[in-house]
Amino acid sequence: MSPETGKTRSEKIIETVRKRKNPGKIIDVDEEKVKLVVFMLSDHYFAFYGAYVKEILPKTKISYVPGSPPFILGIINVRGDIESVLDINGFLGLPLRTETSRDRVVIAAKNGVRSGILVDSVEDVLDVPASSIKAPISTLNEEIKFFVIGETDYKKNNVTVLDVGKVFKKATFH
Amino acid sequence: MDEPERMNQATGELPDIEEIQLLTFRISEVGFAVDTEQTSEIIDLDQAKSRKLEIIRFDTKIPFRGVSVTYRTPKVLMLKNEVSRGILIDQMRTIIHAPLDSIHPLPPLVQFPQKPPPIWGAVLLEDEIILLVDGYSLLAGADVEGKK
Repeated sequence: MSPETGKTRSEKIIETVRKRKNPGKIIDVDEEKVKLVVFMLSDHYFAFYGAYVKEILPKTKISYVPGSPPFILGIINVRGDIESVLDINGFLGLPLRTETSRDRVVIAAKNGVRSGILVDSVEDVLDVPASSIKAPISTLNEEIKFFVIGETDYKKNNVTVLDVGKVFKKATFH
Repeated sequence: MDEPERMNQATGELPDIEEIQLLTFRISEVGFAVDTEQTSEIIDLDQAKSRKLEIIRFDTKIPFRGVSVTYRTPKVLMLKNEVSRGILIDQMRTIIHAPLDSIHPLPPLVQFPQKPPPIWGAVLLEDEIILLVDGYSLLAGADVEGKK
């Protein structure tokens, strides 16, 4: 073991191998990672922290509830339990949804609130270094900034990381 | 309004009830049901008119996203202790027996603010979600803006 770094010879070998495979990217194996669920809405990439995503379901029949606000699409049957389904395009200043074959319902829970959120597709579930999530750009619309934790990259696309708790808060007090 | 059954003070539960009878119907492709404990009779529209009853359209109390509702096979639902007015419903179906365990509260984000709420829960009927209606709360609610 090296007295300077505290790492064993094999750990240093592995670190060197990783650096060589990703010359532009220095990976600190000890860096904190966070799980992201990357999804799309209206051709934009977004993500939730994976810790708050409980399930990803194919789109199923959504039963409309009369009297509910427009962003509540309705309720669904999930193995005998009833879950709500939200359309958050309006919260994010995006155009009205159009149905796609890749639609998914992301079931999320935070701060005691649980609901489904309908998305155009789920692109990936991956672990990223926590440091790769940067503060949102200052020119972001104030209304949208409320929901944004930060931004990161995914396959050369900009991904806006959203706070699902704030999405639910908006839906609760609308 | 009828007095609710005496509840267990300690648990808040209704001690002798394991299932409820629900009268089911549909309006604009949405399934609804009302506890038969609330209902006195179902009458035809003509009967309601001849009795000079005030007929309250269901969709004047709970909006269907601004869409005008067409009643295909309308009936008038009369509630116990309501002698002068009835609720216009559509496409009456069956009476079902729903075990208490099959009844779900509405998810928090969908719950109505009124107490008691006009739609208070849901039950699964052959994979269809049926919304449970409190007839008295429905009648007590304000008319949807612009609808009479």
